[in-house]
Amino acid sequence: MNNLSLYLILTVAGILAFNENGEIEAFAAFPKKVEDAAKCLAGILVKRKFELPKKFLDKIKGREVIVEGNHLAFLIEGIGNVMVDENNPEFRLLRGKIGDMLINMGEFSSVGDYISFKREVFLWLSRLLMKETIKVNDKIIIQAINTFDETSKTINLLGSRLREWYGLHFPELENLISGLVDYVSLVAKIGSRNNFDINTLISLGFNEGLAKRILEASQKSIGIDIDEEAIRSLAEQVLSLIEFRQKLEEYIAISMENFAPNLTAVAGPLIGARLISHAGGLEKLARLPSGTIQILGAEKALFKALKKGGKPPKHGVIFVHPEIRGAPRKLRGKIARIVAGKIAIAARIDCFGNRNIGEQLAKEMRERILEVKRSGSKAH
Amino acid sequence: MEVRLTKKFDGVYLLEFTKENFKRPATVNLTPGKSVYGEKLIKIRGQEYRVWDPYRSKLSAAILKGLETFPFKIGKRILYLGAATGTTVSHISDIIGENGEIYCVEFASRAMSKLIQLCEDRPNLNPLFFDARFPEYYASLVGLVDIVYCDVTQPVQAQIIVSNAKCMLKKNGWGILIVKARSIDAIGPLESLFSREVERMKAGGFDIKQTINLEPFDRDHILVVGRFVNAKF
Repeated sequence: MNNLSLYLILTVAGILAFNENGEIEAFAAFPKKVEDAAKCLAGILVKRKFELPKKFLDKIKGREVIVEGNHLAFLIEGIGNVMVDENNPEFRLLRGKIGDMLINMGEFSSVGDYISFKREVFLWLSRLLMKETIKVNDKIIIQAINTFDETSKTINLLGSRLREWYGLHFPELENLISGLVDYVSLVAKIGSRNNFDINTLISLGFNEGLAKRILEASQKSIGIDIDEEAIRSLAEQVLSLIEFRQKLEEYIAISMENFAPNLTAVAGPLIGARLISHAGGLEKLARLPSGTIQILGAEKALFKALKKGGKPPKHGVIFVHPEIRGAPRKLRGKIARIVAGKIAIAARIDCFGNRNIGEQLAKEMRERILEVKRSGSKAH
Repeated sequence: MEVRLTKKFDGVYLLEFTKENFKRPATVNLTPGKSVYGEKLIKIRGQEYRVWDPYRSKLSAAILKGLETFPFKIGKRILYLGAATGTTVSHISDIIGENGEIYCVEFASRAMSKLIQLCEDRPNLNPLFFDARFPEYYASLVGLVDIVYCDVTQPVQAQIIVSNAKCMLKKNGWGILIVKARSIDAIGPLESLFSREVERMKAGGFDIKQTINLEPFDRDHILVVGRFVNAKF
């Protein structure tokens, strides 16, 4: 018995320990009262705190314990050998039998009993977890979006530098690969053009035709020889910045969904966050008239126009919104006005109201833009 | 108001408003008298039907656009990722009846506060305030399910349905994924995410049965239905 590995899973009724034969070896029960069971679960998930009963600990000592997620690793630390293995097929097998097992153990009298206990626990748990959520506020979002934009600039700066430097060695590559990520991955993973081979190129995602052309060009290249260590290192750095930027984008998306859902639905998380950053906070943004929102970010052009009397800018930070950027030039001004108008409403609801009508606002905005496009094309 | 009622799937009916000349799906209200998101309640022959708005619910739009496989039936267990305020959830809740179960995963606190209220009203709903990107945290709290429905507003949608399916979806169960037809916040050239996401879903073990463009009800999304056949564990 003691040579078999133990699998731990977290159920609504407590923590179960199974061995490879599917036998239950230990069970750390949660209290029977729904509210208290939910508190135990919240304690485990948020604070990583739970006291395993002595019988349970005795079973673990000196054995290999496999847990389904890193949220359970703390239970075993210092006591036994713990391994986190989310994809272990044993866990799937166990999940299909949890209800029956708990009933056999006498924890519940029937399946209906188990399901309704589960539901009550989920209701309590969700309320508890909501209270614990890290309060996302606009200061954090402003830092995050500024980091994101600075990272983008850095990626482009170093990416260009990489192209120039590597271009000494393999100038022809520039014309074959236009995307920065592909170019950087290639340099990072292969390095010198003497190392290119068709299979590695295909494994990097290039189709056969392009891979052949790259290989040919590498063999006929007029570039000079270079030491690959430093330049591969640079490429790796850029790649890791690209990955970091992706993670940051996800973080900003989740934070914005939570913090300003209406604004996110209308402008998208990145533009929404930039507007908040530019205005200096959600409330400041919400108090701006839509005309100002329209040109936030184009202040230099605005003041130049005011001083010299030329044409004022039509759009600032919001320019990259697909509805504006994708529209024909002559209509961009009108469309920017429409988008800014909806953004103003969305920001006000997020700041002062309690409704979530973002999808509706976005839909109305798109309909109005379609109208403008239709009448715009008729006039010409 | 002249209405004609026909059955479309188990638990799903089609209301034809003959004078206005449009169709809407509808479900039988599990909690009669209560409207969830402002939808119309219509009584026909003693049954109260909830009109299912295709502009608010992508599943309703898919039904009107020719969805052929409809795995939601009485007693089924569903994992719903991205439940939001529960618009689509409420109709699935009507369909599966009191003995079905829906596990609603939602990570935005404002949406969750509304969702919890809906879950209190309906005995077949379970709220889960978790991040769908990390299914291992709630997989054993949920158990195994018959269907995974994924409508999250994340860039990596296919990855999420695949990782959740690997943890909790029964073999030969159904997966429904909502894919963005194009990214709303693209830095650089706009690309079609759609084919890449479908490939990821296939690689994750799904046999794709149908893909449905939701226009004109929803211009940005496509609904993909797949069966979880080649699950590799």
